[in-house]
Amino acid sequence: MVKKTTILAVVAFIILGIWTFFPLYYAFITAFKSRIEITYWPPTFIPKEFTVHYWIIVWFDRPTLAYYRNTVIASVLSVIISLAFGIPTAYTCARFNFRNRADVLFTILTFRFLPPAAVVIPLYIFMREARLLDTPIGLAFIYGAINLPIVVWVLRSYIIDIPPELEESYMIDGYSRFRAFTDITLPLIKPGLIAVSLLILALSWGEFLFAAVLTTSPMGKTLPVGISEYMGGEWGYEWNKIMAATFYGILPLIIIFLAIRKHLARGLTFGIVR
Amino acid sequence: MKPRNLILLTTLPTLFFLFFWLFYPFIYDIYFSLFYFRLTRPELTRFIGASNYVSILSDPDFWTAAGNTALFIVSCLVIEFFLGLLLALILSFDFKGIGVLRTLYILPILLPPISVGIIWRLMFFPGMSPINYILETLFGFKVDWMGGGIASYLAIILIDAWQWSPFIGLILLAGLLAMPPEPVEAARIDGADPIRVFFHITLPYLKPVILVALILRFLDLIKIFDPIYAIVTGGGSVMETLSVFIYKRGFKVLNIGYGAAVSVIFWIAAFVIANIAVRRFKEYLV
Amino acid sequence: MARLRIVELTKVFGTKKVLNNISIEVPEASFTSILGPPGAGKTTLLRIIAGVEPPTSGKIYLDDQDITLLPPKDRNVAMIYQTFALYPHMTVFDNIASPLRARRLSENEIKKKVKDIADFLGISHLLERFPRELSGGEKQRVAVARALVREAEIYLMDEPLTNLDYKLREAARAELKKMCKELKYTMIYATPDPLDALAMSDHVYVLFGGEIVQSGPTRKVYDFPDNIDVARYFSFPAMNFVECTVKHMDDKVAIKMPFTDIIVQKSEIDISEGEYIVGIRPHELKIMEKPSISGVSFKARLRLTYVIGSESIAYADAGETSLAIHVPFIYKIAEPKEVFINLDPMKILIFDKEKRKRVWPR
Repeated sequence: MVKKTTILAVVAFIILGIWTFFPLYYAFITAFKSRIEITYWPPTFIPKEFTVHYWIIVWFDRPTLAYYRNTVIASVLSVIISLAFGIPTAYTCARFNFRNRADVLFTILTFRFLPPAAVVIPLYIFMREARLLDTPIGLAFIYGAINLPIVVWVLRSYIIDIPPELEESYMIDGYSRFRAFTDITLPLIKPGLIAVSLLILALSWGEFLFAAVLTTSPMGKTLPVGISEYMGGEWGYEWNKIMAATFYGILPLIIIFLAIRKHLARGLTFGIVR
Repeated sequence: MKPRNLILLTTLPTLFFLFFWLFYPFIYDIYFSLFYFRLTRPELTRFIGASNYVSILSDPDFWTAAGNTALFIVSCLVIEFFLGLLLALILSFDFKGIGVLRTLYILPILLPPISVGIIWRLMFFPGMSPINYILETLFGFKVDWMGGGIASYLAIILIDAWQWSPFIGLILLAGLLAMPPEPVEAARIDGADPIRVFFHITLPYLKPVILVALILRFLDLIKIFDPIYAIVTGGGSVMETLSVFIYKRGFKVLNIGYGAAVSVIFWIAAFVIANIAVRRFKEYLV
Repeated sequence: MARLRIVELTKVFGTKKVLNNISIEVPEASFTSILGPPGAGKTTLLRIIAGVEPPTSGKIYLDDQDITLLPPKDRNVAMIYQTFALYPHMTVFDNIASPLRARRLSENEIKKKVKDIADFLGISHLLERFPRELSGGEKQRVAVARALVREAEIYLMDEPLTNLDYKLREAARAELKKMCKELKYTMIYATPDPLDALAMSDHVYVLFGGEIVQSGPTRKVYDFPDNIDVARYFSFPAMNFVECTVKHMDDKVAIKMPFTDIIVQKSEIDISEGEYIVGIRPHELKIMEKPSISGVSFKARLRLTYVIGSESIAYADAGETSLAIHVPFIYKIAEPKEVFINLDPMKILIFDKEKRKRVWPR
């Protein structure tokens, strides 16, 4: 005899699944439709003609490879930057009780309040002077700064959860505090590190506003910007191309995500709730 | 190394980095906002003091954008809260494979918001919208999602909810899973039915978690830009929020002075509101 | 093996003075206890000795070398934490090997030493396991192994037995004592449990609220507590305290307690008249069927008894006064019963009522 709540739960699951994955599915198959089929009414949910043609067109139509290169560099570099600055800060704010600690943490948090739109203009001018315009490195710096607060707050929370006695014991064993950090703290916050890194990677990968404003040449743009260009003007109705472009942009993310899923399960709370 | 030096070494660079990239530009905003400065006609640049501010604050479009932003934030918070709660409740069931399922449902969070916007643009596009097809088949009517008005408003909320309800759901789920079972069991033993238990025990217990989730989402909603841009570009009208306002009036037309002034107003408003929100609920965050 | 000297150590956290002017001398190869209730500052003291916490003022000398500002890794001090602090992501073998690896010993030497100490402690079969797979007692042994595997100058132990159950604790005490005698290590042991101090240590320092209130050879402090607080804390079961009035009658002294009087010669107990508090150890009271000729006997009503291991504690009311009596065997009663309680008057302690200090024996 199956419980009523179980049936309800299964139904809810299915509805949730459809809600979550249908848009992705529909968008994905649209990239395989022919030019005529995308305009069909009623719309088809399984392509009558299955073609890869437009994927190829989209790839060569624009410097897709350059887009990839820029996006990857900007994202990965931004993760490195925010971790490089954020991990030490998170560690000292977790372990040492110094007088201005609350102020430091709060100040870092307030940078999260900043709407990107509010600093886009001065940054454009600055980047132009610094000749960082149109480079993924320039973007990486900005992304690193935007995401630093997340790294500090989340990792701090993970570090606090590790009893300081473990590090102390290690130091008493005969190691320096730095060794205690690398041999004890880091391995034990690994789930948190992975979760945060993935989050920052995704946030930087998909960032649009700064990328749109701060890149000018076709070779300098990132994936989100390149994709969005399919939407204006004459391209506005070629949905197969638009979707192919879109998925070029998001497939790597989905793949990385699926690969890391198991590791994520542990860091799932993102350290926000303790 | 003495603790004091270590603390300085690890916090100063971070603070400096943040101030340099995010606060310093803001100072420039203030500077530029006092000038008439269009990048297309740099020779016409002149100091005009608070003129930019006056024209902005007396521009009805600005207030519309501000109002839209506020309305949008509140609507999204409400809807995403309910959906997120639903999601968390569903995912809190414990059976084999639930771990895997949980990670799957958070996929929308990781997608680029602009791509989410584009995908939903496809879903809403007049003349070929699968959503309209389903609506027509089931209920007999269609909706012009991109034509402005209530429908467009709903469309944007739907997009944001689709992407970010899992975020709230995730946080709530973590709270649910961390909840001790005893109070619920005790209530059940006392004879309370599941609905009462939920409203009188579970929900109050989750209050701090709910607040954290809502505050975090709130901080992000203030800045909303990408999905709206996705809908608006190349036809399609939807309400304008402040970020979009800055982009169109300030940057697109290269009216730097004007855009900078709006940015200053925006940043100060966002800072003040966010500060109030965070301070009020500070205990729950740390 | 080394001598440790702590001179006028003070530690302040914010506005709170956690340790106040502590001075301690720990001789070579001795077992010293720091006895005190939770919050007294024991853990802080140990952490300062280990070097993970700097003192606010004062000095620490190890064999006449000033180690006050040295980082932990240069001090050659080993510490066993109350929570054992085993590294969860390392095997038992790696946990124990950790201090040896810090000293860059060869892997062969390390293997040998770890095996030896594991054999000594009976945990060789656990070497490839992870801490989360171990029981409390096993974890404790691993923590001890990690501390002993290297020859440190000083061994610090912070309540290592608190997380063990009763039976294990008894066995562990015996083992620790045996180890100390065999290996001749200098050990400093922090505990809130007076039985630990009694069973194992040569010297004891009683720590209340960050201050040393009494110190000395363990037995001496136990037999002659300086004040009521020490007497109350350093006895198990807790000492009985009774208010009394002392009057002189010719060459005799009468100690008048609510339920009986003790009358002795002035030469035996020499204190002036006045109000005092008498301390009677539960061990010094005996339950008897009939009053006895030696000592002082008085009537009491046995209320209840409870058994601990192979001994018992009985609670009786002598008039209005409640007394705890230690019985060295298993003793149960079905219902309250009237008995006589016998006491050797020379075994009592007398404390000044106001100043709470011991006045007799001197």
